[in-house]
Amino acid sequence: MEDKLILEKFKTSESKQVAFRALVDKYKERVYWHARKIVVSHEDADDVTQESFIKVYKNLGNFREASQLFTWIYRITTNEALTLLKKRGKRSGVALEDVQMELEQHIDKSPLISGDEIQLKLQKALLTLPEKQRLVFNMKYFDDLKYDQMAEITGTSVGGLKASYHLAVKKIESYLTQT
Amino acid sequence: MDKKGKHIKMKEQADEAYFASLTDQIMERVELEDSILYQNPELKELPFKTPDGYFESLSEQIVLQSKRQLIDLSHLRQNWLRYAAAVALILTASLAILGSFNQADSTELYFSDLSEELLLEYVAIDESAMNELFLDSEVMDIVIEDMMADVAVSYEDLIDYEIDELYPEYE
Repeated sequence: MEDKLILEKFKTSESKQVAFRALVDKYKERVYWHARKIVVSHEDADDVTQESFIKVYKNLGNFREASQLFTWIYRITTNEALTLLKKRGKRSGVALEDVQMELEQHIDKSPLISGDEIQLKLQKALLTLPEKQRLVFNMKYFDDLKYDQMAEITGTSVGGLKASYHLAVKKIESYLTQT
Repeated sequence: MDKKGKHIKMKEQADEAYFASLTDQIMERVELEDSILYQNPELKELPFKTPDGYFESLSEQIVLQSKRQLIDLSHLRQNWLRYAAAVALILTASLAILGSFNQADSTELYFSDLSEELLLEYVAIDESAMNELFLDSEVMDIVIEDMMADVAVSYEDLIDYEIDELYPEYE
């Protein structure tokens, strides 16, 4: 179902649930994988995905720009995922760097993470980046998003995003070749 | 300069600006293509897995949760006035009790200091409403969640949300 039609159907109570289900079916995997790349663990990605869609459900009635629906959902998911990481740090009284260390251990231990050595190394390299660079790298490298889409999601200029991505690539290259 | 002349001039300027940055863009792309990240296509594959059948049941879970939210919210709206009245009454009673303690030490004075009207109201509190208010933690969670939601980021305004506020360490 097209985004425009989803938005139209969501406005009438008879077709609201059908429209929402169509939206979930359409975006669930993209939302999940976007969240998973940020929070790393499956359980957290599942929480973020569900919470994000509930937020979408609560606010979709006020949303009008069908062309931006996908970036709006991405933006909500990004915010939910980053908030989860921040909350975790606060709850356990540890700095964000320590949370990143926990995530690195999770990469080594989780039965739901398995891949080539270089794939795992790339994920660990990503954890060494500042959050925003990591986010930009994920969206560009793995999701092939365009810079203007990323600008809508992050509220950052295209120039700033390009600089972030370039820096991220350099740091990751260095990590992959030196360690 | 006539309209057509202006148009040609603007087009030339736009072309100039475009071609000035094009070389840089191509060089940047070439540099990226040489990167280890682009020379190893397997790196683009994520090492993450999901439990079997996860995505098949995910839609159902989310839709159920959204329905539950609807029911919770309508329940909350229906009972909101009742809860508010009960809370207001408890606060009034608490303030009156505190006030009476400040005025005198004995409990005899404390009761006599309370107005008859207030005591009658206190006794007449619907017991089931009180139980519901304090014992149904789920309802209280919803009340708190709803209050928090009012002060949280409004997602309809997310287009104006500055991610830099969360991540000032931007480099």
